[in-house]
Amino acid sequence: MVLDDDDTALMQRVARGDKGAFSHLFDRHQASVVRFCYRFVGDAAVAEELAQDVFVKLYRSAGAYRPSARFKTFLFRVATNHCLNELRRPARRGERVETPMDDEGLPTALDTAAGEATPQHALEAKEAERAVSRALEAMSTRERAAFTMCRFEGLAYKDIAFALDASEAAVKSLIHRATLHVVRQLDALKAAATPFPGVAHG
Amino acid sequence: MADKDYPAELTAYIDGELEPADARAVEAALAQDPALRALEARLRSVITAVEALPHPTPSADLRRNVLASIEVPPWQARLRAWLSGPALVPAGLAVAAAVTAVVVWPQSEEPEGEQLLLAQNLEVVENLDVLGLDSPEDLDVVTSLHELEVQR
Repeated sequence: MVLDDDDTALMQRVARGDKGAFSHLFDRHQASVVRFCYRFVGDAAVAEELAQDVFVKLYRSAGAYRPSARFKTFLFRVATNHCLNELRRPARRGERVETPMDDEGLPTALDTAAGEATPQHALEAKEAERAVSRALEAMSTRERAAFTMCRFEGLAYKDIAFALDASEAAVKSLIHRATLHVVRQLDALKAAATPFPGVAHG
Repeated sequence: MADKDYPAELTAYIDGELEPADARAVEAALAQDPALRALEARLRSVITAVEALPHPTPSADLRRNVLASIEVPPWQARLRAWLSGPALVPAGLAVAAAVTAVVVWPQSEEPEGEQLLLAQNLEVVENLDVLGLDSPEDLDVVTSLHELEVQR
């Protein structure tokens, strides 16, 4: 039986060539890796390609895994390095694709469960998605990686520091700056949505 | 403590990532500074909104593709990527140049001629960018090319 906290044991089995163990790890973490890659590149199809590469690299580099590191941290180190390398390629060179939006202003790739949201919540979600998308484009690649791991994957700063090969102090600064990017984008969107801000109460 | 940059500490404070003493210092600053409290409230509401955003779900193809990919030997996977990527054009040019050299100077069968051609090609191979390779690791692909010949 496979327990929830035995990623490390599974990874050690993968290092010995156990494809069943790899399959378990894949099923557990595929959503996280796709989500991370999507927020990193802003395109659902490219995110799937990257996620595929990440898992194949994970399988092939299983021998390099040391149980002293949390499995998820190791996984995100592989994912981060792969995404950063991809963005360094001449064809992509730091480019993040602008997230395609549908008529409602929501990203076309996302399952938004719109029926459950009130109009006010839906509006706020739209604004937040636009702001995050624009802010991610404006961030440096390291800010983007740190922000994505923190906000969408819930990784602790020390784990993000391991994934980025950076100090915790540097991660703290990256995440703060990245969060401020989102605040500024939200403020800008709100300002743009208010035609006559000085006469709001007319 | 007076010159501490509290706004820069706020995100880590909200994330619960500060040491207890630093967190207490931020709390004391918040108690005294309405502008800092307003920024904290703003950051909290943005973080909550961001963490509630929807995400794409993986397709069924992803699982199939990944499990199929790990069945392929690493050198073969790199060869496929290499041949389907932008490396093809410079690599093709290098091969064409080598073939032209052999056709134009067919008499260069003496050891000196072969060695000269080999030296010229090695210069090209050492320049990974010319071949469109990303890293020296990809040279494994080149060194494994003869295995394809054997399979044929």
